[in-house]
Amino acid sequence: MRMFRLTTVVALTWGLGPRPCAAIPDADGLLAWQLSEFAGEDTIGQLQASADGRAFLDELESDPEWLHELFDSGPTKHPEIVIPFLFELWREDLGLADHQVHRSMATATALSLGMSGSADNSEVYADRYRWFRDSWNDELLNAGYGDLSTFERRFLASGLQWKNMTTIEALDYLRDQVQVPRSRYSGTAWYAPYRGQNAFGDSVQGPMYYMPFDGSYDSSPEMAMHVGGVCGALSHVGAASALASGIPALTMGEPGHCAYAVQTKPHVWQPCYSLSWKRGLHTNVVRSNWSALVMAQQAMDDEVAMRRAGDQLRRAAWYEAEGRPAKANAALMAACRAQPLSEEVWARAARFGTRHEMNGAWWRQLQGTLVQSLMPDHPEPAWHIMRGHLIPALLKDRDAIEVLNPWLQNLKGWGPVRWHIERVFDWAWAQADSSAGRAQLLEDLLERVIDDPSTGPPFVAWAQGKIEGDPELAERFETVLLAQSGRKGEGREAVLRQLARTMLPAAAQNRDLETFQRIGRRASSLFEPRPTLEELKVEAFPGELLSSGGALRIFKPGNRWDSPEQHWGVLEHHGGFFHTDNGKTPWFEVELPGYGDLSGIVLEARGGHPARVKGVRVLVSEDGSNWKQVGVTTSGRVHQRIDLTDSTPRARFIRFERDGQCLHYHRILVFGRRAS
Amino acid sequence: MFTTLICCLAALASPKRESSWPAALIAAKETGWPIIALAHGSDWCVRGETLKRSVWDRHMGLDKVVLVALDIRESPDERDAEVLEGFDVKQVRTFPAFLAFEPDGTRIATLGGESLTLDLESTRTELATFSAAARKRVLLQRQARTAAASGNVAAEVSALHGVLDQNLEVPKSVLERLEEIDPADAGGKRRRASFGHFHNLVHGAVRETRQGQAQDAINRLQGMLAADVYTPEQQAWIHNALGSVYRHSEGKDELAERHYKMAHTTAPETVAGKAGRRMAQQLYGHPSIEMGWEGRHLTDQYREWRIEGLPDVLEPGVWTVTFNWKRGRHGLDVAEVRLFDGNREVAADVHKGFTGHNPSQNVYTLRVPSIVRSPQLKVQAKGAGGRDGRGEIVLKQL
Repeated sequence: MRMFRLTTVVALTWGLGPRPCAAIPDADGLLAWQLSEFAGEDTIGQLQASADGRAFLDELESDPEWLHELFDSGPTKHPEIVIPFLFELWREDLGLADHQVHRSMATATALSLGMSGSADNSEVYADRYRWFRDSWNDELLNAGYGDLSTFERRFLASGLQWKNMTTIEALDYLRDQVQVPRSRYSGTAWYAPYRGQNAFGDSVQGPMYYMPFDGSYDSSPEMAMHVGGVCGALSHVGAASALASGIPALTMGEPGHCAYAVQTKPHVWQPCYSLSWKRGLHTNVVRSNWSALVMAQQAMDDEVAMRRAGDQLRRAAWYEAEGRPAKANAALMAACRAQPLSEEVWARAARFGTRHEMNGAWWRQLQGTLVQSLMPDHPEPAWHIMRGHLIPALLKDRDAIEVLNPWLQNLKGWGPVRWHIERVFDWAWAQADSSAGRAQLLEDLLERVIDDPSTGPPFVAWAQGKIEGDPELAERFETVLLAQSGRKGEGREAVLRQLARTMLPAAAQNRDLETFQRIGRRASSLFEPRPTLEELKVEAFPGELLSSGGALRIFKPGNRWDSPEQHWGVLEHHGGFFHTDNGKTPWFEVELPGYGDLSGIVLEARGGHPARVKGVRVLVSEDGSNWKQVGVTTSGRVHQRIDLTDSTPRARFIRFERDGQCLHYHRILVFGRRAS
Repeated sequence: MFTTLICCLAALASPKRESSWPAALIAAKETGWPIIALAHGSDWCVRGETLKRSVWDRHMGLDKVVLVALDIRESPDERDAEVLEGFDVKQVRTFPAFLAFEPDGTRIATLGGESLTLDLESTRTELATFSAAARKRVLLQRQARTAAASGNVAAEVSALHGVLDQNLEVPKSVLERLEEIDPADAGGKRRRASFGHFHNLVHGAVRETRQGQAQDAINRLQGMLAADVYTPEQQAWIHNALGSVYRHSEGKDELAERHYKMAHTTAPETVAGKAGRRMAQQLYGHPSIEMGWEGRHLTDQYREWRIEGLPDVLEPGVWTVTFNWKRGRHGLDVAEVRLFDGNREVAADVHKGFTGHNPSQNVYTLRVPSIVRSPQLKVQAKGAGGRDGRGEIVLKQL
């Protein structure tokens, strides 16, 4: 370790400070400086106490590539864990620094261990690193492993939430038994059978499920693939199998469900076995939500921009340590411009602003740059950064809606996925301190989001929750809503009808089942339930009504014959109605709330047009993209049954299409057994 | 001319290499040879490319098979679609893999994953064996069809039994045909091959019991045992199924335990046998080192527990017995732990201990002066305030 840098560190630590206007080191010099800052005196002192330690420090410090991998691949924590661990791996293999793939994996493993906050599992992490190293050397991994960034390798290093799914034995087994093209890992969860009870009749919810089989299999994935499991086991098999091939993957919690995600294409994450947008990632580098993952991945994909931003952050830190805040500020702004997709960059800028008590104009400019850079593609991270770092300062001389306006004005859609935008509305609601304020807030928000087919429906659903129990507020809001929707008078029914007509197709199109259900269920009061299947003497199929709770999408909804406010009822015993437009290949599609093994479908058409109900093809899909035809209607009868008891195809989406004319039905009831 | 004749004969016997699945099917139909396919991925599966380069692309010494390499890429193009037309890529569960097919495209077997060694020399040998098995399958099926056409039931049964004897994948049609023409199944081959996954047998019996059809399940399962045609592991699963029927029937715990234990006795080293033993221990056994204790062991007053599952022998030294509560509303009170060698007490630790949310003094220390050849551990324990609790018992030598 070069003495002048250590001297600088010591001097700064003791507040002596170097001479003002000292020349800033170049980019490589700043990397070495960051190493000393990060590692700290104690760790450096311990390493310098041995010849090996000094050799390691020299090699690390003089290797800018390695230092970029260490510092520019996401957050860094617990240097007292990271650096000594990296040293131990280096000591095991003195050629480590020269082998980019192994060096990157070692660094990723060290960073992951640091993020875990404890060195207790260092042997587990070290074994995992060795496993990837040896598997790569033996040519046993997917070729894509060699192209991963250090950021991506951190997901491999971390393992999964269920630790028993990524032991060495588990990885060995999966690498051998489940090695497929990466796009197919979206389906490898099903290598384990979905069974709520084990062979002995014991529930997966209790301790007896795997008990009889403990010790009979070499690893947990092998046991799950022979004995079965439900969403947790299946998602872990899916994710672990990808990891075992060197493909980044993770599991995610969803309401009442465990899903997973895999990079099914290089640098592209795909949710798998997923039922909801409400996801919490069990493994994360930045934050535990999907929007943050997508943006972080995009940031890391631009290695040049990440390094430039990292260089500017180092410049800023150096200048600030030197007592030159103006220069530090300029460097931070340059970092924001260099890589705006890194949340860490904005957080560092904001913390600087707080430390130096920057004025309102500074904060507004920072917000403006943030919003311009991140939106409309990344509204959630933009909100998160604003909420956590900017809003406290912005509120000092602005009210809530003024603070929110720049963000709202640039809001166009969800970004990569639906997210809890309701939290933005809740935050704004909490700032309103009077009934008049709340009423005005609702109108202001309505004006800004109503035209957006993505965010409009959930806003209206959220607002309905707020106006319940406040008749005055409800009346005022509904009047405005009606006016905004282009209809006048006729009261609450009219509001509901109008809402449903616009919101239900939009919610279905956005795969927002929750909003579809909420608005649809309310709108069902507008029309009478249809006679039951028993009354009509139409036989159902075995199992549950899987379509209940789902969503319906149709070809050109809201056309002159359609009744979108009744779409919800079509998938329920209640019944409803829809009518597609005429077209070359009119279609409609049912999205189930979960995966199911289908036993059959009951169709109830609108009578009077037998030709339109014959020859309707029935296709199923697990992912909404790859379809397989499983049936076709063979008659013009109003009630038809598609029997799938022999094949019981697994599906989450069912599509119906025909050649020419249109399609119109009162009920589409999908039966079967849940598989999630 | 003689040389030409030899070359022609050699060509007739050599494998035919085709470049696409449709071409392979045509060639297989023309020749009557099986297809051996290598499923690999040139743009992602490094191991597969090594296998292809070092084994597949060389002279492998195979004959009378149709060979086709199926490149299943991560980034396919139009050419890939032509090569793979009609081939269901999902049937390849892991890569790389060799798959054998009858000339009509029916899959015979897969060699991949665990069954494919990493050693290339061994792979060549395995592939040769695999290829020979595929040819034999084709021959057996041809023999079966010929026998069926001529009404020779015995010959057809023999040929189809040959298919079963190969221990490869068995088409459903073979089992259905055997049931049709040989319902007696004297040697039990068809029944053994039809046994299926243990889950279906055991859970099916449980489901029947829950639907009030326990006796039907018992009769069927007893009949299977009485036939005396199943392998030991299959018999063990039948015992597990019977145990489960009795377990879910009122007042039949003794029979349930007996059958679970018989599963273990019948095939102790198999998954079925181990599962039976663990079920018996968990549901009906005494507290043990392996399973700990359950709520059914707890009493309101102190009672003696005889801990099962001790090692055969205990070495002299210091041993600890630790009681760790795991689940439930009630913990465990322990008053004493005594170690016996047969009937002779050799060590004891007497003190009041508790394990629950806040364990206290739950570790018992036994100073063992000499080797104990017939160890027995006796504990005085009771439920702490109730009987809803379970936990583990850890025996450790310091």
